[in-house]
Amino acid sequence: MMTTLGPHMDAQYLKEKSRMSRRARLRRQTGRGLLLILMLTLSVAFMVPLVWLISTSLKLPGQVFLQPIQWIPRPPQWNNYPEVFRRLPFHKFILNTLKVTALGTSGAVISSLMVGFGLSKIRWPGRELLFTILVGTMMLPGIVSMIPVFIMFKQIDWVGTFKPLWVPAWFGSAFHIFLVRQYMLTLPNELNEAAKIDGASNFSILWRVIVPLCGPAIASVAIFSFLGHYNNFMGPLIYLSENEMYTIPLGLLWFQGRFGNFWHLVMAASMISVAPVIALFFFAQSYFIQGVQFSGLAGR
Amino acid sequence: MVQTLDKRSEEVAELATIEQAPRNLRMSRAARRDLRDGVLLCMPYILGVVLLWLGPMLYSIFLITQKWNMLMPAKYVGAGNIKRMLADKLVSKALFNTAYYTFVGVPLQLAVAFALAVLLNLNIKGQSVFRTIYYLPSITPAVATAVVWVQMLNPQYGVINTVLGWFGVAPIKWLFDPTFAMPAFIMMSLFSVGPAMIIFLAGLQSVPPEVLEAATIDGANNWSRFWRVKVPIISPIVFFNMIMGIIGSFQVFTASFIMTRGGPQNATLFFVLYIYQQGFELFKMGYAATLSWLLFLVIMFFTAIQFGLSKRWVYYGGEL
Amino acid sequence: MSSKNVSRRRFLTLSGTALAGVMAAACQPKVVEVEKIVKETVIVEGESKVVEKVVKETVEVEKVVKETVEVQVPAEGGMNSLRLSAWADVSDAVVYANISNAFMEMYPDMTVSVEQYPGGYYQKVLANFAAGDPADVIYFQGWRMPAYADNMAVQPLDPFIDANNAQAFFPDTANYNAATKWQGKTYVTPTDCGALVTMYNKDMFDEKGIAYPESGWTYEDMQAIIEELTYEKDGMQYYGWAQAGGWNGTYSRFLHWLRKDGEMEWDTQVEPTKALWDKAAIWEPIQYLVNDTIDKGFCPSPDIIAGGGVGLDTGRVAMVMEGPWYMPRLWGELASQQPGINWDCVTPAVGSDGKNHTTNYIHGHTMAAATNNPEAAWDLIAFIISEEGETIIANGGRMCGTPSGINNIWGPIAAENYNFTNFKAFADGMAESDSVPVQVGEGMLLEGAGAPITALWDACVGVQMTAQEACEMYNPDIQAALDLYWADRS
Repeated sequence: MMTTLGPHMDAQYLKEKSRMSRRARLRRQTGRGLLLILMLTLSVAFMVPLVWLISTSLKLPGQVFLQPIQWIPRPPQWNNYPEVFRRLPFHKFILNTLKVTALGTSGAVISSLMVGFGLSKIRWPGRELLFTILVGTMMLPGIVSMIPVFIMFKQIDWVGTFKPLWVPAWFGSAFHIFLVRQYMLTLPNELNEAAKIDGASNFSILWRVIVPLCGPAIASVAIFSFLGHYNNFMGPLIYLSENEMYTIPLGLLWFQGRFGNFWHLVMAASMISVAPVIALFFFAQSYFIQGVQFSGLAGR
Repeated sequence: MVQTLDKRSEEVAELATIEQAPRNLRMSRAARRDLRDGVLLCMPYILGVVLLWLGPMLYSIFLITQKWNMLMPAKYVGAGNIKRMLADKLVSKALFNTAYYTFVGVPLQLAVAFALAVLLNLNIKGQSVFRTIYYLPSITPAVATAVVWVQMLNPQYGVINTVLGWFGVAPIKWLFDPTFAMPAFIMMSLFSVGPAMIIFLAGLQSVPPEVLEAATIDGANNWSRFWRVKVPIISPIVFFNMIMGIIGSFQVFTASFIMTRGGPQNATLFFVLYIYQQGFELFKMGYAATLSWLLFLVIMFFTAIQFGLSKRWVYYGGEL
Repeated sequence: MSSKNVSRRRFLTLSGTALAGVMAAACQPKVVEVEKIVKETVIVEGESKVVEKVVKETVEVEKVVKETVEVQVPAEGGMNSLRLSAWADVSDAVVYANISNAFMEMYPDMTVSVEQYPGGYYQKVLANFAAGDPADVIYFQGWRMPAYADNMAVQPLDPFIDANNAQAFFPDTANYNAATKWQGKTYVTPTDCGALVTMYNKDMFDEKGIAYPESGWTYEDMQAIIEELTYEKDGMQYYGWAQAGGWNGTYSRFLHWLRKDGEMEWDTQVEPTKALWDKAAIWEPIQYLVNDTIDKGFCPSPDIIAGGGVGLDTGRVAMVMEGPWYMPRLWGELASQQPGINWDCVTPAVGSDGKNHTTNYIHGHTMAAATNNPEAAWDLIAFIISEEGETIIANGGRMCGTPSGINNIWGPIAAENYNFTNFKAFADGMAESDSVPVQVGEGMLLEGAGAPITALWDACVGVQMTAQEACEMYNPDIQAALDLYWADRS
């Protein structure tokens, strides 16, 4: 398996390894073994919430809160899952959520790359002012602006549609832009300076030089934006009013009734919504956070 | 060699400076082009701020002097909201709670996130699986996480107290005890370090191997390679996580809303929760706006300090 | 020089196209069928009259433009549509779907669209009001209505009640008046309600040979039973009493005990001016039923309750104060223990004044002041509280709003579904008690984050201090909150 830091580290490791004494090698392997144990222990801790979720999703309502915790439900209620779809048009919720999320995430990635580049790799007057404003916007709690923004969207008749949920992402969010800017600031300037000397325009530098190096940043923004849209409940609550248009978080809340919650269904629905995300995350991160191709710097 | 690379970028920077026009009102063609490109590329965000943020922000400043319950037009009250805020015991309580959470929690969260990222970067077998597992709590819907934690923190049967019991610690009442409720929340937050961890990892993996090779050739061992080369190179990322940690922790809301509603006895009354209560349950939007701007000033104060300090320890290799 | 230079022009074209694509997706021209109400003059019986006709037009518009034309009287045969808001609850979804279908069958020219707001019901209602676009008929819990009535967001129903002689639907007793009226005018219908009665586990009573409690039983009787029914059996601890699950906010569930001797924790339950928590009549029941029972082990402590598995529904507790919403957990497909437990209910034990002070929760429907179809909205409201509407509600599991509805419609259905007999306890609770959660207008903080009563309760429940100490410590805070409320209103 190729290491994440490219072929260079492999060569180096082999070189070092051949030079080590057997005792040193043993020490290294024990070290690695201990680390593995550490990571496994941590994994158990981190997985507890998900395990409880899966376990509860297969229980009867009365078994949910029994003490001591019954990790393996007997018998497992597999029909909790179809019941979620029976009680609510949950497949519609999933489709709606995916639609809003796809539109929003692509907007977030594109806009954050553009603006992040503009704030890091081009020098222009007013750049630092804009950056200060950007950081400043994150410091004001959004609660107070929620209703005025809602009224604003009402004026242009976007309430009742999906637009208020994904269009703002295309204008860029401070968090993503800040992240991309910081990331781009770690990329040494040799490449873009060299391209500039070669006569490339800023846009060309962005598209051809910087963006290919931004795999991890793109992946990060994509993941965060995806999760943000996927789990957003406040926005869909106030902007949507037709049941058919609701998204997954609203569906989960539906099962938490006024007078007591159908926890087994809440957890089953949560599992339905989380499982694809976990799968997506697993495959996406293997692909993106693979390592960076420093083709431009090689051969110096 | 790191030294050589530094010098090279200096040379290039010098060339660029020579290109620039002498200091008078007329900008060189290159500088003008940069201005135009910079503005063009930042245009989406500029538009976004103007269209979506500026209006509501100005309105919220206006609301400081108003009484607005969202059902009737706003009414002028002058400095009434500010006077009320200064007399409100719960404001200082909420600020204290939030500051406690931030200044204890953020360093811990950064440490855990960084440690996990370093672990994941060591290329132990099964990295992808571990990465996913450590990120899981951030993917799970908030309500599910909340319910699970209430279970785990149960004084009688919860997992946390059981594990503590193995070490001889008496059962702690966690969410039912004003002293331990906030530590419980901080503990919970350590499990949601997924995003910060991913960002650290992205940074660690973007360190050019040539730089590390050069350092090794210069005689650096693993330890100094890590602390003297890798960490400074990713310091912008560390800085990002710290700033976002501060800004984010000051605005924590969801967990306390779902789990404790500010209790027990206001021990987990986070500031944004208090703002929400005042605005949406008491219909006091003017007062909520006043409180929001107070929080803004507090956050800005601490963030400005961090930005000031950053000049000393953040290394921007790619700064232009 | 690289031949693959992305020129500025090309970049702008690309991004422009992308942006255009985005905007196009966002602002697609819509083809819409718009109904316009058009006034025209016709000759009818020799007289010329202005009559409103409904005209349908197919319009292609960039935005949907709403035509707001003054409609004085709904046109005969015209299409009226109403928006009805409801909690997004799995049970309510079924109930209100059925109601709207039944209503539309009865009034074929009207359409009712049910909007359900999951999670943040009042947030959504508030946002809609703020933007001037509320539903026509809005569901409200009684104690939430005053803030909206204060601001004339909902309109008085009295003109409709008088015009249609619908007084029979609105019981004229202190509790109903407190919950449905505000400052003399009626705003909310009693569509469904809840009364907190004492539910008990028959098996535990049988175990110890104690007779089931009957209406009129006293507080002293109850105290004795609590202690007798706390025992250990087969290694399991059984408790005589459990406070309601969900410890914060139990103030509103505790009203009966605070008021059982005829005293009140306020000077009046509608718009109080004085907080009167620091008197023995108030702290003694808290001390016994909250502090002492936990301390002495007659009642599971809050962490045991929150941990789950110990409650009336799992057969470990003899008595609780609960409302009709708790019954699905006691018997039936959602019961915590299958098939359920043997239970029944009774009006709560009375105090020294011998009266029933059961906490009543009353919820119902209001009419938005901004509605375009007040007459149609009234028809919908009247339908909901009619016998047919109440039957649909009862079948959906909610308790009917009036004592007669409880006895005649809901009771038999619930008794069969949930395996108990004494549904009359609920009806009596609604008919005889005056107690409702205190009614205050906009801007009063009693329970929830930062609220003094919640802090008081935390202190008692955590057995951090005696009830007397807690009451004396927090009464000034509660009074301060009241004073602030009145200062804001002047």
